[in-house]
Amino acid sequence: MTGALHLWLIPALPLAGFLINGLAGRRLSKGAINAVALGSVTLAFLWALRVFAAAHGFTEPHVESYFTWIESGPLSVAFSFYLDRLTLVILLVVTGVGMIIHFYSVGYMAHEGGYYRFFAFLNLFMFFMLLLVLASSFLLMFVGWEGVGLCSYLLIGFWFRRQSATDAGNKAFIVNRIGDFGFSLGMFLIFLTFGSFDFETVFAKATAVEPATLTIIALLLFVGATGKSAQMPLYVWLPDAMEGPTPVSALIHAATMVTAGVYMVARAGPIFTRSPLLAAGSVIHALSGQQDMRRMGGLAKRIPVTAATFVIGALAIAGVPPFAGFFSKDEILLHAYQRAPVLYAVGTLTAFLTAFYVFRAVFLTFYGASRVNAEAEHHVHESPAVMLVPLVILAALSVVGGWVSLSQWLFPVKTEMGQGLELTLMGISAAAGLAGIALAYWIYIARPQLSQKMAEAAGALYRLVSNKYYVDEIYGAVVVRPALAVSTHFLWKVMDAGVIDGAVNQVGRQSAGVGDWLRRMQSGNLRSYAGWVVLGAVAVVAALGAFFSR
Amino acid sequence: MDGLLPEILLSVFGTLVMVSDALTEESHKDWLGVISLVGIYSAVMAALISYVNRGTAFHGMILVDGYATFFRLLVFVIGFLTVLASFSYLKRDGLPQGEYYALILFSLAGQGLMAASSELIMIFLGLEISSISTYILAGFLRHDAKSNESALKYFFLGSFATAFLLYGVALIYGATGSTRLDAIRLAIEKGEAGGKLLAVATALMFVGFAFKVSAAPFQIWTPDVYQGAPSPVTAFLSTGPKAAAFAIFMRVFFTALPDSSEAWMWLLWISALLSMTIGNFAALMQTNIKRLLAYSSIAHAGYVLVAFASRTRIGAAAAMFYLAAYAFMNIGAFVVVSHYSSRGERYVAIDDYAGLGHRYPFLAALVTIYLLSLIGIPLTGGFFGKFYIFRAAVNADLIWLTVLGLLNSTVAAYYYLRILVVMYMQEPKESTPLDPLPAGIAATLVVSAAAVFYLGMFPGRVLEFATQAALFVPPR
Amino acid sequence: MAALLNVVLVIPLAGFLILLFLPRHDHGLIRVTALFFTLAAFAASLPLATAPATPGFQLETNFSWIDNPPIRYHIGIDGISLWLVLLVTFLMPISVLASWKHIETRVKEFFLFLLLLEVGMIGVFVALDLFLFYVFWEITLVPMYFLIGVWGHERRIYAAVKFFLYTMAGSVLMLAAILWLYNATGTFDFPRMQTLIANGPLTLGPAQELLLFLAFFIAFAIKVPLFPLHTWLPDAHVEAPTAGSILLAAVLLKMGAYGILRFCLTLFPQASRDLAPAVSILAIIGIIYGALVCLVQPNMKKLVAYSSVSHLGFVVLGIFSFTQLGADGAVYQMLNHGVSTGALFLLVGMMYERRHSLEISAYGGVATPAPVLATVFLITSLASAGLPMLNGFVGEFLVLQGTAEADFRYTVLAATGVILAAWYLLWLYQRVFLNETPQEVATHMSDLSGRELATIAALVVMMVWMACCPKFC
Repeated sequence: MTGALHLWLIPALPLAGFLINGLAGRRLSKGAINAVALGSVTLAFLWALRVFAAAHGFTEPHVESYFTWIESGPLSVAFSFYLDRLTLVILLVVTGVGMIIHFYSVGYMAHEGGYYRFFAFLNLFMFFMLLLVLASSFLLMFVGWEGVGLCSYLLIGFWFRRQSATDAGNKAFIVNRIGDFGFSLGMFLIFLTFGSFDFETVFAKATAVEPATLTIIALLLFVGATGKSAQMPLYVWLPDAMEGPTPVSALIHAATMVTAGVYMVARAGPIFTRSPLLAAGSVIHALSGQQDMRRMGGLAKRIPVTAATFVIGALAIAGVPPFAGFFSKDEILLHAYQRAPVLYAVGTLTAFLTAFYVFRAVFLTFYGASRVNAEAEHHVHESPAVMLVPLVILAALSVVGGWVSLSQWLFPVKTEMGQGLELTLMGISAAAGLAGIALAYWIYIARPQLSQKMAEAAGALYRLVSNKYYVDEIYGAVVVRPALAVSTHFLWKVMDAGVIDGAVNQVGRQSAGVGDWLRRMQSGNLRSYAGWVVLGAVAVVAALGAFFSR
Repeated sequence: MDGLLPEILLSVFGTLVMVSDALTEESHKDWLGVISLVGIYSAVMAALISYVNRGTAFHGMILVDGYATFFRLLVFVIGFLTVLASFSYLKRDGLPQGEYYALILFSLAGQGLMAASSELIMIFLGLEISSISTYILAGFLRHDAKSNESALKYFFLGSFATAFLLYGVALIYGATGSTRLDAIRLAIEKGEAGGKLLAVATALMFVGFAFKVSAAPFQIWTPDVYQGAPSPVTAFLSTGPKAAAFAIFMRVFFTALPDSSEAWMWLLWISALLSMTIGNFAALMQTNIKRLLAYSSIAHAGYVLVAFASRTRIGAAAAMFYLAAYAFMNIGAFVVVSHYSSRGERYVAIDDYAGLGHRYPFLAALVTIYLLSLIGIPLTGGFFGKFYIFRAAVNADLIWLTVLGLLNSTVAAYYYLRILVVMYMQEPKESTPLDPLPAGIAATLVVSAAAVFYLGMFPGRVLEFATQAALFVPPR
Repeated sequence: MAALLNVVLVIPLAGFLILLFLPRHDHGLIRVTALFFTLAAFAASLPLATAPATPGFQLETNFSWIDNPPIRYHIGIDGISLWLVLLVTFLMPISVLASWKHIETRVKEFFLFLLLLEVGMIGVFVALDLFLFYVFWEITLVPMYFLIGVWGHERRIYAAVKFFLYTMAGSVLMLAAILWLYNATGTFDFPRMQTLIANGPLTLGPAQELLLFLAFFIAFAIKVPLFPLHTWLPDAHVEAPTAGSILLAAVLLKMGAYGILRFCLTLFPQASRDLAPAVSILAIIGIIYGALVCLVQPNMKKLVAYSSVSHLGFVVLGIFSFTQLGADGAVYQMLNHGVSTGALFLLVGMMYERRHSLEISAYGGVATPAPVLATVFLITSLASAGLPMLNGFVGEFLVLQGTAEADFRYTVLAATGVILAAWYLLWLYQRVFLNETPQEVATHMSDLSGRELATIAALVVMMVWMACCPKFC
């Protein structure tokens, strides 16, 4: 692939916007702030479109390398961007959605304090998100990944005079960090295993690595995605995220953060696909994680285009033929069957659950009765035309591409159709997928009261788990307060001040005690002094006498 | 005659001072100090001259070599600084100048003799000349009970210890038939000396010398004597006679008794450790600065004993170097004490130094230099001295003594730091009035500080000389 | 070029000597002089960064200082010490500026000690003769002792004496080991000694090597400080004046880590490897333990102090991973910690000048009256918490990656420290800067002055720059 696309411009523009507004925003007029903030993301979006136009025909990934970022011994990480079809799509989504949010916020924030600050944060968010998307290596992706977490913190805690807001901000960051802990460990293992962080290198070698290792890596990366996309058990920060300027924050987290999770899983596809047990789990995460779905519902009427694309994606992921997701899943299951039938059984079960969960998401979010509260509902509407453009383009591409489905964009895999046994297995897996969808339909659409009944049946336990208040309480009681109590009352006051420093001070006190004793030995009495001299002399004579007579 | 020229000159000048004292009017007695300085200066010159014509004299009773000259020069410089620092002290407290200077000069003569003696009777003679003068000097504040107590204790215990030494000398003579150090060694080498007798003789001489250098367990007199004596005298006592005592201690044991060095090494080893430990730990709790410095001087004797215990030329050179470095830092410290204490030595509590750093920054800076040297902070003579001592100890495989000694120096750091704390970090309780620094004291302090830095930064020449001088130490 | 290193060392010394003769009451002149010399040293040190990146020591000066024992003035730098020297010279003008208004009593003495400290610190990093190294090592004790003891807070005396004795107790053991090595090799020259040990003729028995290693290591571990030898640090940090805290955290602790890297690992490679698991575990305990204790500190400076225990744990862990990544990461983490923790202490100092309290509970909602202060504090905290695009990340990442090569379990445990760091720093930030602003905070907490902003801006720029361009020589 040839020709520089100047991909760096795309994140650099919002970064510039952040710097200008962040450093000088306090002295700028609203108009100027708007010009900088909106101008930068609009330009970024336009540049992304240009890149799309220039690159959509590319058949191989396009890499632009700018400089060597970290170099140490065997490790060399370039600051470079990676563009393939997946990136292109996500790039458009992120810049597009981001731009809309920016425009939307102008009105929303018109009467709020800290105007410049808000737009600086939004710009920064765009920058990190784009870094995440364009990164050519896990490490650079992690940079964007953590940066997005930072922006959640900043945006959620935007009204920093309010205790609840700052609490929520802290919670978001720290919980994200726990997720990032997993991501980073996964990353360390990736380097240990592959000797590189580069996507291309890693994926090229992925087939040669033991599935067990891949499983661990995938599991760890998955923990990262869990934190970011607010999954159990790390979802606790999300409900509180509404402490930020509400719709904007919510949109950002729903639309973009989850995308981050999806993107990461998609990007790391080869790792996940080679790790049978987690393939399904990763998919569950990818789509079902958005928000607390029980608060949504019936959105299909309001946002039909989004809903439609979502459903297409869901079908692909549920593994319904002829979407490509079916083939990839099938290959995984076949592979598993050959290795161990138990794995196959588990895989099929997860396929079933995948389908169930994905469509649970679809049904809860887009169909059935609306459970969105009044205020939020007010803000939910189909994305403006500008935002829909990438989706439309996507759809158009699907049509033009004929057999190329959305999921093939997302999960580029090779398919090898088999005969006999393979066909049987395919049938089973397709059936599992369909069964999952059917179950989801039955529970959430056909018998909406059923889930309610289940909830009642489970009673206290269900409430405990579903109520964020309790979960916070549990974390508080199990993790936070014990940690603080142990740190205060044992580590700090007993261990540090008492035992360790106590020992140090005890050395001092004992020395002083010895000194005091020695001082008191000095009676001032001449006769006793003479006595000491005689005693010493006797000792010396005895010692030397003993030595000589040996 | 060359061999004893410095001592002769000192005696002549001492007598001159005494005679002039009787003939001079009160208002002109300042000149007595000047005469003394001239006397000491001429003794220094004489010591150098006699070094040029070095060799034995008086039938081998006197040996002028590098070693003797090193110690002669050292004690003379100590004496010079003491006299210089005593001018204002004597006038302030109205003390008789003539006697004082004369006694210092006589004491120096004794110490010079000690340094240059190679025969036990001469050594004893020098020791007594030096000691008796200092007994009197310790009690020089006649109306001060503490000073009297100091003199009395020093005298009684000193005589007691000298008796041990004398008894040891007698037994050695009995065992070997000689009092000349080289002859004694020859006799022992030939196996002519009786083992038991020799053992007892060695032990008794050890006791005598250990007492004089205030090494544990014979250190007990030191705090009382140093505390009670007039501060300039304490400065002198803790450096001059102590250096001379170390000089003969090492001379006798290395020259006459190297055969049994394996045995007395252990005595030194234990004594070194005890001295360092007792000195340092006991100093921790002191409230009187003179007493604190007295205990510290016991500890420093311990460090020198470490060098001694290594029984090598390097060790002897290290001991010599350390005694020189210690002399300057300790004189500096005691002279500050003597100046700061005011008339009648009223302000000698550590707490009296509160706020000194703020009120008299120059004086405090000087004290800081001495104290840092006593702690053993690099670029000071105290550091290089310790460094060289422990280098010798490691060289002689005295690893444990090295580790214990170095750890001891950490303990010591505490009480020296306490003085710094009081000076710089505490506010003065009452503003103790202080006379401006008299020229003599200022000169002493500046010279001491300069010497501390010189020995710390450019120790090469002194060390070279000491190393040459230590050639008399037989190789192990 | 070789002369340059000497110039860098001599400039602060010259400043010290000139300051000695300035009139004691002309505080303005004294401050400007100190600033001039520290800036001059910084300017002089900048060309060092262009030294060609070849292995081994460069810009060496080597002549005899004392003939016997053969002690040489032998200095030089390599890829490690170069950056540490730059760290010192970079932080010195900042420390001077931080003391500009903060120090009002005994101004002359203060800046004298500051300049003397600079000489010592640079000396430690450039000395290639063990005796010379020890000299500089001990020299740093004295000015820091006075800085804490004279210009510190309430319990300054306790802290100063503890600092001095604790460090000295460790370094005398090192002196014993240096003496032993000299006795065995006949030289104090580090490169020569290294050759003698690496290629024979000096072969150390396992027990000997272990003891020598420990003697050096304990001295360094106290300075780092490695758990459980760290308790002098919170006291010293809390009580020291701002400049003292900055230099203590930013440079003096690094002397310990540098010592381990320079001497322990090269002179006693086998013992280092044998003890690596034990040391790594102590480092990990330090990381987690430091962070947990940090979490519950009611005093800002103490909190930052314990965070140093945690952060320096990463450094030690990286060093003892025995990987290139770990070592590079450790060095980088040293520099990062110097910049970000230095900045934290600087900021806390600025706040103390306004509110006269270090207790977290005395603050709250500071962001409202002092937004600029709040912003730089946030950036600094995030840098300290290891956020990518700020300097802390690269070092921690390399250390953990290096450690992963050595033992993945260590990585897992140590990485929890990163989570805890976010927790304690953001919680601190929340309690101090966010939420409602009490009246007394609003009246006291004015925003940063131009001088203050310039001081801290230099550090913030450094944080970003080091995050983006961490290429190693």
